[in-house]
Amino acid sequence: MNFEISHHNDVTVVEVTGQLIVANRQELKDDVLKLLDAGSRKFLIDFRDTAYIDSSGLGVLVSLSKKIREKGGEMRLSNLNEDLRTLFELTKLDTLFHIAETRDQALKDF
Amino acid sequence: MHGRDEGQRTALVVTQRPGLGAQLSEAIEGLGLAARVITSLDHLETHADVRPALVLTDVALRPTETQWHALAQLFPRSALWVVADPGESSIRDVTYALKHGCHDCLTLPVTTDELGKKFAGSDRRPGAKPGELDRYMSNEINLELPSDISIIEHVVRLLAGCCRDYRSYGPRTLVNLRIALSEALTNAILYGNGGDRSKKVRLRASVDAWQIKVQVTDEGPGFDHQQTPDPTSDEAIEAPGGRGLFLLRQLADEVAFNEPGNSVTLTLRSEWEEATVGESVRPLSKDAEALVGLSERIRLSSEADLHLWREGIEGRLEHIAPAEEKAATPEGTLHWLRTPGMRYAVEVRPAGDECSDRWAEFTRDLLDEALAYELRLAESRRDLAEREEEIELLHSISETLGAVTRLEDAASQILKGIVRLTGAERASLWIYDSGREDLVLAASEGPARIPVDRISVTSSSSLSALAFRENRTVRLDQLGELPSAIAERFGARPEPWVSVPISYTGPSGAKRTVGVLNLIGRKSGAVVTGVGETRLLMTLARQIGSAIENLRLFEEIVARERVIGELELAHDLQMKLLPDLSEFSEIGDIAARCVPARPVGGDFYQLFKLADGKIGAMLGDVTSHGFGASLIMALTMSVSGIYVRETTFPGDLLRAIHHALIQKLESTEMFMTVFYGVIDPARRSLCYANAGHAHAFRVHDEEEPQRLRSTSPPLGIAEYGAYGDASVPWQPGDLLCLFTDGLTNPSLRTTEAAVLRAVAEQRHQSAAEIVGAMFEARSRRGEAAPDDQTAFILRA
Repeated sequence: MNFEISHHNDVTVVEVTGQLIVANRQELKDDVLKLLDAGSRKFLIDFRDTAYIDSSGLGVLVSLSKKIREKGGEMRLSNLNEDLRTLFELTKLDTLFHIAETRDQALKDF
Repeated sequence: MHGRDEGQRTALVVTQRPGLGAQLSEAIEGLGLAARVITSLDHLETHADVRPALVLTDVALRPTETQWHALAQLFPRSALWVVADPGESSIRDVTYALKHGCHDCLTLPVTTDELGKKFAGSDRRPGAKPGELDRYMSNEINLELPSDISIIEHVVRLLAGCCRDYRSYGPRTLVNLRIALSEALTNAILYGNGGDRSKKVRLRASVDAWQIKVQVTDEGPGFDHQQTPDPTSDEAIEAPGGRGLFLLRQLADEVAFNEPGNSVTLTLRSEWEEATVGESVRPLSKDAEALVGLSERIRLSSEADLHLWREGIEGRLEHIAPAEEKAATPEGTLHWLRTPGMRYAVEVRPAGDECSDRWAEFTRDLLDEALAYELRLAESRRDLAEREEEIELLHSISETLGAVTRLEDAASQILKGIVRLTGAERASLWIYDSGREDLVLAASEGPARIPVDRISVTSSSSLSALAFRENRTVRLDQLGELPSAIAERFGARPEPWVSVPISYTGPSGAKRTVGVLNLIGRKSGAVVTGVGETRLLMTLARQIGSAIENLRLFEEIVARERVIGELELAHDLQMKLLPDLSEFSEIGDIAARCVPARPVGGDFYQLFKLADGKIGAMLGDVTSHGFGASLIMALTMSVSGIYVRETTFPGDLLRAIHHALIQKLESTEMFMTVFYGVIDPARRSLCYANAGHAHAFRVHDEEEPQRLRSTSPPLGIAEYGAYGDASVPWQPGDLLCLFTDGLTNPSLRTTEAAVLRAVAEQRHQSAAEIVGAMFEARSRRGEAAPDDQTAFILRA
């Protein structure tokens, strides 16, 4: 898996490709926390090229979202494929995240 | 507390003795209840319509565990008592009955008055009015025992069991009680009755939340208890008698004798009492503190004038909150709390106010509920802490078991041999630590203590460091060839000293220096400095090198094997935590399979037989796998076992688990998805709470499996208040189908559909076959990381 980090105005966009799983979740976490420490407050995690997130990947998303909120920021998710959307719905995690269809929609009123 | 039912106006008597049936009927009818006498515990279901307030079973029928279980199932709202003759033969049977679901023991003969008093004291009596409970909340035992020391153990266990029902007695009091009562009974049987088996010992005991009072009376002539000396005094320390009495006085709070001295009364007070003796506002027990805090909150939010009272010694009311100078008589309406073991009252002032009564009742109910909850919580926390300790203990035992031969032991053995061989005065062996670039002292031999246990290999004043760095033998008698720092340190006339590098040549031929051997001083007649000896030393050093290296490799292997062994042990332990499904065969066709990705995992399932024939089924998946997840899994299983019978709705149980585990989950950033459902076959319903678990289904007949959707986000993520309940119909023969995402990942929807198709196809097969088919249909995983896989099928 790779992360590609880009900036759109004040929003930090992290594009995740491949899988977000137990083996690489720490990497994502460290990267985002570093940016948070450096002053970024708005994060968009984009999953356009992500096939699969396992439960520990979900755990990292939850913990990141909490840490970002604590600092007064916000984290959004976008471009979940059908499987991932089902996963978020079935676990009721969709109630805890702002999930946008596309990256543009997520950025529009961020 | 158990619900009370005004309609329960009957008592059921089970006995084959006509005389006993008549005696009990008379006592029962005296209470205004109807008596129905039956002669057998078989076909109890034909009496299901009776809804008795009380079921009295003759202990002579020797009811089995199954029969007690059946009684409890059939009459869940009745008081279940066993009736026994006083005497040796029934003690065992009574103990057995109390252990297996019987609530209390009634000793013959029985009068209406005694029966009424005991019945009023039972928290299962129907129609009791609040306020009278506190007067009767005691437990009385009345036994006539033969003079046989073998019964002591049973009697002590019986009484300790009664006391354990009260929260106010800690382990210390219970231990004291056991010892004191054994002593008193021994005295009565051996000394009072002189071991004469025709003579009886009478035991009367009353227990309530505040004190345990036990009277033991024998048929002997009595003795002068004041003449018994203190056995710790000089003159009595060797004397055998009198110790029982001394012990009694140490263990019980009060020891009283009658005249002539054949009856002793022991009083043990609850530990709460000690905390509340004194004037003005008293230091309160934890429970009272909780109560005061609660009433304070109610007072503040309602602006009502609330006062809290407790009943103290001799029934005097003591004002405990809010703080006040004088303890006045009630000026308002006093309402007793009904929580068992509590003697608190709440007062609303002033009296006569129209709404004050309603206020008081409302407050009392609220306090009752809140307090009962806090007490249960405190108890459960204690249970939980104990179980956590158990888990940790198991772990440390397994660690100790794996101890191996240590390098240090081996080094010391080697050195002893060298000193003997070379005649050196002392010797030391240093092993290279590549991590810190130090030489570490592995062993030393001889009289002088070595001042350091680490030498840097870069040290310029150390002979050992020099020998190691340059990988050559260094002698202190060749001072001229040594660096000046060493020459300065040792002076002009140093003692004999040889430092020999220890090297190791591996199978590949590469040579490494692994340590240094020092030989210092010389015993008379022995030579260590000659050329021949030097060669000997080199040979020795090579041997040592191989030995050390082999040992280190060996240690590594052993350590690795020990870890594997521990993992196997942990795996076995974890699998044992899962319920044995064969114990549940009577409630339905159940099968489950749990395959952890690593030796231990975070998937689990749990089953509960609940009251009224209900079945509780739980399946959970802790994020990630391995040890952390398995600990959370074990704790969840413990917590749910503790709370399951105290909670009414499935969501309550998830809240209880949340409460117990949230800190652990948050600190480890783990969470878990949990499904918990309660099937009520009688009402044909399935009530469930689902914390973010994706794969939970009800399979009914030919219909599409019905998804039992999440009622909240996963545990560890959801807020405390988020756990909800949902309910669906349940028809006999329906399947509850639960599995974890280890079966479906990475392609959630397609594989879930395949697994469900397998379930639908195998619907009419046994639960075990369905589980097998689910595993057949599961995802082949592809690139996905391995995950724990669990499937669970219940047909009821």
